[in-house]
Amino acid sequence: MSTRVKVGTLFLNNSTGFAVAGGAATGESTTPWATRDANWTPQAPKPLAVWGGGPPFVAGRTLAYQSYDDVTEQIPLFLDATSHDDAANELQLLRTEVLRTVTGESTILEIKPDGATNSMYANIKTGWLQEETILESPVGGALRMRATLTIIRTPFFGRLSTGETLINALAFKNTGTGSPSNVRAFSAGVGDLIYEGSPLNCAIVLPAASAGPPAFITKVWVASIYSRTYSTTFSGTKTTSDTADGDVIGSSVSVSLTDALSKNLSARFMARLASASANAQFRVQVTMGPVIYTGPWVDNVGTATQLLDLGGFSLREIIRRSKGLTAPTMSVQFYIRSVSGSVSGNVTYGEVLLYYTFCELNLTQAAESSPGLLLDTFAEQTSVPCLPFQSERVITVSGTSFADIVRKKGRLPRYVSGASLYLAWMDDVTGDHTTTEQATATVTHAPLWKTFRGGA
Amino acid sequence: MTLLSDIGITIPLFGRGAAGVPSTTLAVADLAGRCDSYEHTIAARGGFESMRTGFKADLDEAIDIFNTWLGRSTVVSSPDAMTIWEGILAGISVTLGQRRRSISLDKLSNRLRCRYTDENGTTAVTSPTSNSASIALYGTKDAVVSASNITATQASGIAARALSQWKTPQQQPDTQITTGNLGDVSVDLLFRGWYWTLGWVVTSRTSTTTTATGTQIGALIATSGVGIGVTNPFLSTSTFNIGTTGRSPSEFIPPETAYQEKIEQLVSEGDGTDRWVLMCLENRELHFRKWAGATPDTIHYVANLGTHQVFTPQGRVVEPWDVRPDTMYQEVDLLTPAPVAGYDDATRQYVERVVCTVSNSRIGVTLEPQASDSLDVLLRGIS
Repeated sequence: MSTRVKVGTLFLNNSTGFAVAGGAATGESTTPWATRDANWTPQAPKPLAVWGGGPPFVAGRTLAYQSYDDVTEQIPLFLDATSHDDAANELQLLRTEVLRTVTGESTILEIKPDGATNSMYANIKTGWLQEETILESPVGGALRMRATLTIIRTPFFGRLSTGETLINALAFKNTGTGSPSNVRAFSAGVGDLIYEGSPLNCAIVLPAASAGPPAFITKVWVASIYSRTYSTTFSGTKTTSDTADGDVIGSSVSVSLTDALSKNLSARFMARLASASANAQFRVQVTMGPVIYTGPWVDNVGTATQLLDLGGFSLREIIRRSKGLTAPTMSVQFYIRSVSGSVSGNVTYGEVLLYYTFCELNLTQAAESSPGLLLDTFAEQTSVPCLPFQSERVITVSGTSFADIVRKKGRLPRYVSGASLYLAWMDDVTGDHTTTEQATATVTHAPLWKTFRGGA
Repeated sequence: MTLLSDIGITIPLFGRGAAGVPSTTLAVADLAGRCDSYEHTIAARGGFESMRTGFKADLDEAIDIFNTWLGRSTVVSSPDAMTIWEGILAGISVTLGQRRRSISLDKLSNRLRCRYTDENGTTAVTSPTSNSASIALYGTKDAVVSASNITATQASGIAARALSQWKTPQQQPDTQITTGNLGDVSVDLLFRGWYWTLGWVVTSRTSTTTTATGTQIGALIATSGVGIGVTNPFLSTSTFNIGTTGRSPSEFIPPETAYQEKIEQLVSEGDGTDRWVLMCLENRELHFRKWAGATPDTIHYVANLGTHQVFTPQGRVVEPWDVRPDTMYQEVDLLTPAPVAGYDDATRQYVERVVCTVSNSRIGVTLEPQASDSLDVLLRGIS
C-alpha cells in the first residue's frame, strides 16, 4: 500500500506498491507512476502575516493581519515505461492533465495517506513536469525515468462534494427572545481553521413581507456571533425636537465583556422600534466610565415597526488583561434626535451582539422559495472539492439556477468554534419588522486542512 | 483569496445609470476578491476624494473593462458593513504587456460654449451646443472655450469642433515597442468622489441678494431653481448636515462659473473667524461645518510610536479605513509635561487628508496635516 496521490484522473502511486510499466495511469493498480519518496507529504501553507509596530520603540511586533498564499508543491516521481515513446506519452498525459485549468475547470489533487480514512482534495492552479534522466538501469526489463511534478495549488485541502452541515433546515424567528429566536448555535465543526474562521454556505428561505410594496424582505442581517444580549430595558418612548445631540430614549443596559478578554470580538447594537416619526434619527452611545463609542445617527425607515443597525466597534485593545479588570462591563444607551420638527420614537427592545463577523444584505428580489438566499462562499457540487471561492458573493436562487446578485456590506459569517448564527430581516422600503415571521436556514461548512485530514 | 477579501473590505461596482445618475444596479458584486491593492483618500476639502485599486486580468477582459466600465460607481464598505468610501469610476488604465492605455472622464466635455470677443471688442458667449448621446451616458459636463476677434458664427463653429473632439472620453496611449520582458495584463481603476462632479456644470446668477451661506449651498445642490441637480442629480439634496456660519454673502455668480467654484468661494468665507470645511460623504450628502482645528484640545485620534494602530483617546482601536479628516490627532509619546497652546505643536496636528492603503505587504493610514499655513492659503480655506 502507498499514499494515494491523484492528479485529475491520473494516479501517481500504484496501490500495489509497484509501478506497472506500460500500464494505464487512470487505474490505481495499473499506473506506471510512483512517488520517489515513500514518505512524501504535502506542504503546509505558510501564513502570510502583516506585522505592525515593534522596535525601536517597543520590543516585539503586533500581528496585524494574516492570510494564506497558494502552495508550491514538488512531487518527485518515477515513471516506468516500456519504451521511449511510451514514456513520452505518459509525460504528455500528465502535463495536459495538470493544465486543464487553462480552458476548463481546475484539476483536482487528491491525497490519501496509507491507512487514512479519508481523502483530501485541493485545486491545482498550474504546474509543470520536468523529466530528469532517461533510461535508468532497467527494472524488470522496464525503462525507468525520474521526473518532478511541480504544482501550484490552493492553500488548503477540503472534502469532496458537500460541506458538513452545521445547521440543518432550522427555523429562525425574527426576534431576540423565545424559541426559536434569531440565534442558532453551530454544531461542532472540524478542520484546521476552526479558530481562524472557515467558510460557510448559508441557504436562507425568507418569509414574505407582511406589508408592501415591495412584498418581499429587502434587508437581511447575518452574523457569526459569540453571544447576543437581548433586553427590553432598552425600551421606551420619547418625543423630542433636539436636532443636535438628541435625547435619551429608554434605559441603559449593562453588558458583560468578560469573554472579550479571551476572544477577538466586536460589539454591534440593534434597536427594534414599534414606531418612529419620519424625521427621527437614532444612535447608540457606549460608556465604560467615559464615553468610549458614539455611533452614527441612523435614519429610521418608515413610521412603522423596524429594526435599526446602530453600528458597532472592535473590542480589541480596549478590553485587555489589565490588573483588576477581570469582569469588564459596558453601559449601552440609545438616543433619538430630530432632523426637523418634533419627532417621537418607541423602542421595544435592543440587542447587543458580540460578534466575529457581521454583514448586511440588500435584496432586490424575493427569496421565499428554497433554496432562497444563498451566501455563496465555497464550492459545493458533486465531485468538486469544497474549497473557498476567490470572492464571496450572495445570490438569490430560483430552482437550480442563479436569479440575482445581492449587494452585501461587511463580512459573511464564518465558522468559529463555539459560535452561533444571528439572522434578522425586515422590509426596509416601507419599514416592516415583524417579530412573528420565521425563516429557515441550512448552513454547511467547508472544513479545511493544511495537511492531513485524518478521520474527520 | 486576496488579503483585501480576507479582511472583508467589499468593493461592489454599480452599473452606469441613465445620464450618469448613480445607480444601485450591481454590475460586479465585489472586486475585492481579485484586487492586489487598495488606496483611498478622504480630504477635509471635498470629502471622499479618490480611490485606486487594481488587478490582473486576461486580455479579453481587460479590453472589455477599458471599453465599458467608465462612469460606473462604487460604495466601498468595511468588514463591519460601514461605508468607507464612495464615488465614480473616472479613469481606467490597462497595461497590455509593453502597451499602456488610459482613458478618463477628465477631458470629457459634452456641452460646449465659446466665450469670444468680436472685432469691436464686444464680449459674448455662444448658446450651448451639446451631444445628447454622451450626456445620456455620463451626465452633463460643461466646457467653455475662448477666442478673440471672431464673429458669432465662427465662435459657434469653434464650440462645435471642440464638442466633436471632446464628447467621448479621451484616450492617452503610452506605447513602447522594445526588447525585454513584455510584462503582464493588468487593470488599474481610479475612482473620484462625487464632490468632483460639482465642477462639471457651469452656471450664473444675476441676483445680488445676500443670503446665508448654508442656504446658498443648499440651493446650489438642489434639483430645482439654480441647483446643479436640475442638470446632474448626482448628489443628495439633504441639507441636514449643512451648518450655519452666520455669514450672508452675495448670491451673484459670474457667467460660466462652475458650481464647485462658487460653492468653494462660499466655504472660504468661513464664519468670519474660523475656517469651515465642506465634505461630500456617505450617501453623497454634503457636510458643512466648522473645522476641527477650531477646538484643538478635542482630540479624535491618538497613536503610540510603538504600535501600528490608531486609537480614540479612550483606547478604542480605529481601523485604517475608518479614519477621517477634519479631526485632531495626537502622538501621545511626544506629549510634554507643560501644556502647549495652538493647534500646530509637535504633539498634535490637524488632519487635512487621510490616505488608507491596503496591500499584501502594508495596511495602514497616513494622516496628512495642512500642507501650508500661509495666510493666503488660510484665507482661501484650502490646502
